[in-house]
Amino acid sequence: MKRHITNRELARYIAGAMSNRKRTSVAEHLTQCDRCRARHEKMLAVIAPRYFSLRASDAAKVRVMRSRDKLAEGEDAYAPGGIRSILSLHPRAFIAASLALVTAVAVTAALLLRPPAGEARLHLAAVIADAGVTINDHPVRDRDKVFEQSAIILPDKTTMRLEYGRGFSITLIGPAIFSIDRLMSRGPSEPVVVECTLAQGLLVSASDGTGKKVAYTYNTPDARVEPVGTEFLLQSAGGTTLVVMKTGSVRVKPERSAESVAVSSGNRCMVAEKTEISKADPEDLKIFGSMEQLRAGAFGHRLLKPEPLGKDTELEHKRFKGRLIDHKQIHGNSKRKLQLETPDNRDKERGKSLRRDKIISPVKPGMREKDRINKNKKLIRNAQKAIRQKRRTSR
Amino acid sequence: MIDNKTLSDIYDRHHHELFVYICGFTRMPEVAEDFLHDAFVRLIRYSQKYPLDPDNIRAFLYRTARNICIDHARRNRKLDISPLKDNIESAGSVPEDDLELRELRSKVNSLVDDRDQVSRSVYLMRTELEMPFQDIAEALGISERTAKRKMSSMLEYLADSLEKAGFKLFIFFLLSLLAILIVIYK
Repeated sequence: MKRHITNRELARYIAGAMSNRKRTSVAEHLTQCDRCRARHEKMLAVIAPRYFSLRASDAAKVRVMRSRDKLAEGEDAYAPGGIRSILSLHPRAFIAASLALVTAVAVTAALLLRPPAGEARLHLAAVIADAGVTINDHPVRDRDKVFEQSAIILPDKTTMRLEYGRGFSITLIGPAIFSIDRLMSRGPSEPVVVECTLAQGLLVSASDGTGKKVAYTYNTPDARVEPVGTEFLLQSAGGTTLVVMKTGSVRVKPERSAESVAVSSGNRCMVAEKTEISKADPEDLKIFGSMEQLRAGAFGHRLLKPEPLGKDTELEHKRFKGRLIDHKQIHGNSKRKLQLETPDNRDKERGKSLRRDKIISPVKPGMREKDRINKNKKLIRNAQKAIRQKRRTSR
Repeated sequence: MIDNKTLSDIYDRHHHELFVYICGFTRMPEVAEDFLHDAFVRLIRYSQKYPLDPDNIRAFLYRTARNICIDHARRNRKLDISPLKDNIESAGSVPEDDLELRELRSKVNSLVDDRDQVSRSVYLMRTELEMPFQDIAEALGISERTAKRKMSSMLEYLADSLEKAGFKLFIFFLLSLLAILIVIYK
């Protein structure tokens, strides 16, 4: 062979896949050609055996024989130990046990984190709420939850109905400033305690005795009204409190007097400088027939003259158990603004006490309504600002 | 089921060639020992269900070992696990400190890895175990002619690839020399 060996020929020669005649020819060439011989030697060096001298350890044989014995006994040659063996042998039992454990942990956590029964946080439902009505400076929409420590402001000609179950309801008619000071129950068998304050305005309270028992009390600047399963009208305006009974009876305790008086059905009670109880006119009882007419002012001549919001009223705040703050006294503002203050929310911001997300009113208010809302907002903002200032100065 | 004595005989007869064969695939003796164990466990399991044919035991072991290696390679590809370096020492007559040879072998390893499993098996059996083509053909269940063709093809591929690599190296060397000359005489 006069030419150099090709890669194919070299490969076939090394592999031994060549005919004898060709093989002899290549072998002769390799003895004569240094270049091809170098290539051949390089190739042989590259593919020289590298692993043949390696030996498997003796332990490998022992392992194989042990595996054979295990398999003969019906065990798995690869069976893992510890918790993995349980998982591989009883996967369903393992999963069931894991789920049971997770459930137990979740139930325990839920029981531990559950609030005590005595401190269960109850709420009233705002069944009907007109546009412009605000709770703690937030517009209200229907079916919102109203918790304790909520200040409700109703502009003129607006109404709002609060319910607890089916047996107890409060219908508020604006202009009104109302707050729910306390709403709690000591236990499942104990009655629900509701304490409200009607700073000004008008409400109709109804309790038909069905559903869960509710022990409720209304405070006005002039009196404390404790009804016992009844339906009545309560109005507070211009330093006067008016109670018109439809059914049942209420106990009225005037602020100026130590003695309380009982007002039974069909009577009306006026609490001002003096407390007067008189027989209600049949026309008075028609008030309970139509809330719409009541809101429209159809019974204005039978009730107290309502006060507009934001105007200077003649409320005697000092006698109002410290719940109302006269801002004129605080920073000499000519406008008297009311801020409901209770011991529990004294250190809280008012907006946080209503436990719900930001509310978007479903009813788009008109320009006039917007003015009213803004006015209310401004009123509350100023009051909060005054409280903050007062705290700063007291420190 | 296969008895202890038969198993011991089979192990003694075939374990070394199988171990070397698996090492050629994995290049990690520790892993190769595990795979050797797995291959024999599969043989034992097979013997629990079917009677063993002594003529086919070797082929069975090689086929099983190859499948295990392929599964391992697939898993490693998914997990991106590969030996950091070829940690098996050279057993040939070539000195260890021959850096060029080491590089060439490393190159050959990667080239062999690129080929199909049958070609790799033929190559390993022929180069590492120096098995005759007839035995290779029996062990792999292919014809002798195919085994020879696979081996020739593999070697030709290696020779071509190494030549190309050498040519590239030569061109690189020339260019470097040229650059140095330009810098000196500028």
